[in-house]
Amino acid sequence: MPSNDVFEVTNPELLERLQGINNGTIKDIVTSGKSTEIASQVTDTLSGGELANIIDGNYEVPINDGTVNFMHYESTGFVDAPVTSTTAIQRSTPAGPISQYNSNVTAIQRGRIVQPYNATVADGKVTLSSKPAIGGFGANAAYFLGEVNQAVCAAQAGIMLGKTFDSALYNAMPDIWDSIGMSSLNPETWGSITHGDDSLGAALFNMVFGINPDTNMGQAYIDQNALAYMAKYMYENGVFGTGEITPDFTVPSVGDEINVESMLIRGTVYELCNMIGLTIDWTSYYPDRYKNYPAIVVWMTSAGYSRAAVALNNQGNYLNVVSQTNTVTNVNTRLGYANLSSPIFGNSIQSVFHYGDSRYPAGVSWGQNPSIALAETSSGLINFTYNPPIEGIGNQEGATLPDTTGWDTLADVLASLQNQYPNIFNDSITYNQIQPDGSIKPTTYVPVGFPNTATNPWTDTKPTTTNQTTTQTNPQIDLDDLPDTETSPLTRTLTQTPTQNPNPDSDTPQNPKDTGDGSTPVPTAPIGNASALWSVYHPTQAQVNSFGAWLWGSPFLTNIGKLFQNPIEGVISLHKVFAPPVDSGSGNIVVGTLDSGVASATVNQQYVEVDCGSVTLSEDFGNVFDYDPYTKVALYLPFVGIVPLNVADVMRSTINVKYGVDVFTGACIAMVSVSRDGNDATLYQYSGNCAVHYPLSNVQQSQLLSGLITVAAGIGSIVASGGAAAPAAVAGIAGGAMSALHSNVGRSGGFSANAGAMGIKVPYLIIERPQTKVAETFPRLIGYPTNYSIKLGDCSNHVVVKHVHVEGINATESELEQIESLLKTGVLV
Amino acid sequence: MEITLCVTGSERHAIRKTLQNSLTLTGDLRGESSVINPSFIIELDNPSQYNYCFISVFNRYYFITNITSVRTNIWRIDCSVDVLMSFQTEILNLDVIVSDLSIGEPSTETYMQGEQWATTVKNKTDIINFPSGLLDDGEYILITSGGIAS
Repeated sequence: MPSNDVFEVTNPELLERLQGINNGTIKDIVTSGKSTEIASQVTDTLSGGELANIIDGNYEVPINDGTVNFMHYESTGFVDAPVTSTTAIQRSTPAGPISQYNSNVTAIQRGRIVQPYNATVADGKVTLSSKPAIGGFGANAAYFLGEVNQAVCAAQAGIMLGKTFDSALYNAMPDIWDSIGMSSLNPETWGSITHGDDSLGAALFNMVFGINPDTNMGQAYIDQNALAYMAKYMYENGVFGTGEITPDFTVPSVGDEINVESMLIRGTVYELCNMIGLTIDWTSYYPDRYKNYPAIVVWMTSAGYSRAAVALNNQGNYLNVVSQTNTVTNVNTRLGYANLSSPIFGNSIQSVFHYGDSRYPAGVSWGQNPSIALAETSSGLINFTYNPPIEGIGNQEGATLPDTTGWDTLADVLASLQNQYPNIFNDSITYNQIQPDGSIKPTTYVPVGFPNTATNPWTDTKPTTTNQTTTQTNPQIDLDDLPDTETSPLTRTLTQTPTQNPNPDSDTPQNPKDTGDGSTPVPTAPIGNASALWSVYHPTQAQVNSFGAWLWGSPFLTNIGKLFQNPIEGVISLHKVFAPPVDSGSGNIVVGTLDSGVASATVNQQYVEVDCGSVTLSEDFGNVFDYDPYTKVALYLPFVGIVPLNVADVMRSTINVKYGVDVFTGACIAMVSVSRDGNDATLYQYSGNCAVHYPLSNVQQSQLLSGLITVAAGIGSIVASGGAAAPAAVAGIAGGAMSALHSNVGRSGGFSANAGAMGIKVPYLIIERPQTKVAETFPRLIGYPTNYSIKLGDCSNHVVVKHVHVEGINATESELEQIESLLKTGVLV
Repeated sequence: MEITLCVTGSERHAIRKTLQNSLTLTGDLRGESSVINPSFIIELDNPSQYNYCFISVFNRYYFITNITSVRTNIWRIDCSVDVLMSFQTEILNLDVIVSDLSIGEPSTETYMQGEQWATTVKNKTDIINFPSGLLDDGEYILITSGGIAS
């Protein structure tokens, strides 16, 4: 991108957008065929005008005070989305548009947009400048290291995630910020982001506080790992609950048709009654304890009578059903009981019957347990996600709330936050912390807000955000608004000025950053075909049959003989391919110059892409057990076989499988892409063939069989030799297959198309995990393995020293040897 | 010279040990005596309760390795130096690279190999299906010579 490029914006809509103000939201881009094209178009050689045209209609352009931040799109792969009804997805690839109708669509392209440039908009002109200084708080800023307790740190994180807190929270959840409870989420990480307790038993977090003397503004920063920890903790404790019911819960009217789904609304009786507006006299039939019983919402419609009701499992297989429309004083005389298969929670519903109301199906009386199909009663259970809000927690107006999808581990949360809030991490700073052993440990600190400044913002155990002066979009605080407090967190001036951190993952001299960089190029298939030399048809079974009848009819044999010595040469091939061809039109099937009169769809596009979707592979143990040699991962690919994957490649990542298929020959390539840490890479590619050819002559049959035998023999001989190239395709999920995988099987497949046609057509991951037997007391008795430099006096409990220079001790040689030996055997500090 | 007999229940490999029930004896050093593995004769009713001692002139702590009755109320005490306790201040100031560290300290690693990660011979298998795949039933493709009829 040329810097200082100036051009005139004439498009009024674009100009209005560029000059408009929004809250800086970056929307996820739904796959529409544009993302791949745009990504390939946004390059460094674009002019500002070309980029503006691309942005127009494609991006939500964040604007801040008249400065336009232009975006460069980077794909982070696919994420799962809720299952919807049959949906058509139109996607375009460099090879041309394809349509794929899939009744189980779950993939949505999610992109992370980074911000390489900015521009100034004035008088209809947009001036692009080079990449601005990332983050930072001004050239003259001074930074101080301070401390805050866990409650303030949580509030600071919550502000950046768009939340508000008021005092009602602490009535509803008085222990929400209790340090012991918070530490239990992940004690190891808690220990690494805190450093002891204050006099009140609160855990202390480092906070870097920047002061800009030019603007008289202050900015707080916390460890990015603390931000992720707080986000996960808040997520686990329902802070992001909205009270919304997804999808919308609407009570149908009498006579409405209900789409019966076999899912449940769950909650306690009390919650669900409140949710559907049901009043119950708890003092009568239902004692108070029923309030907290698990319950479901049952949807019942019969003979024009429709209601939603709360039902709880009261007597094993029986449910007490409560009317939605009545204020009930004695429940057991109304509506009756629903008899479901036990256990009801988790199993699909087998039958429902009603009692006590003439409007319900006849023939049902008290005590009977008939099996009535759901369809007959028009009753069902509908699934919704109900995230109750917590009193005292709200949302900042216009803030971007986090998408908590995939928040399984703290690493997942941090990566997700980096994707969703790039501005936070672009404005991060690096503070090089001097360790006790003198080494430097760079730590990334991200900007955060401040809780209520009316009270002590540093040590408040119940921070609020009323009278809030800092928000997600404006986290800086006016220094004049800071209260004078006896306890200041600014314990000492940093001896090293934090450096502005353009990359959330910092390097150190000994340990480069833990995330990789770069994405592989987008694969492209060739286009075009010599349609004058051959014709490609996509016939139905009936059309094939009709063509066959014509083929062996007299007129054909008579005429085709004039064209070819061997009539069958007019028909080049007939096969079934297991990828959807793209029809380009229709026409009669022609052989040579002879028109068969049999209509068929025609195919112009030789290469198609089939996206099998993505899955996420998360750590199960959160430690070494998730990786080799303990955990092994293999991938079954249709028409390829079972192939081993490097666990380190695919763990904590989203794995996508795409097939590129040559529908003319059946040749296919399975491309396995891995998305992690904001990068995408196609790490594995396997070739195969997904076409079953039908013999049209005895010569062809011999050739086909010969090919199949060769493939089978090849598989057998290679497996027998145990060579490195042994494919593990045909064995299937048996111990033998996994043993073959363990013995260094090469990354290639050997499935024949005919065998593959009988196999599974959907890829799947096979994850072998160990059954662990870790002694509970090993942390105290052995300790965790590490490779850490430390002063021995800073350790506690059991320590095994790997390397030490025993020096500075006035002891005899044998004593020195004994000291070194004991340290390396293990000592208690 | 003072010898302080005491009792310790701390683990042998503990750098800092807890000492109890101290009894200080005063005497003179006579004859040969090893600083690393000293033996000395004391007069005491029954020293068998003691398992640890400190010898001031050597400025070292010792494990009592053997107690031998010489004659009535006369005992020979054999000792072995406890280098960890004797030089604990200097040892705790050593800069080290640790290979195993207990929980609660910074940089405990759960992604590094170690004998701690024990497993049984069994494993468990999880299957994750991709959302979709190739067609269950194939589609016919017929290729013939010549161009498509108009």
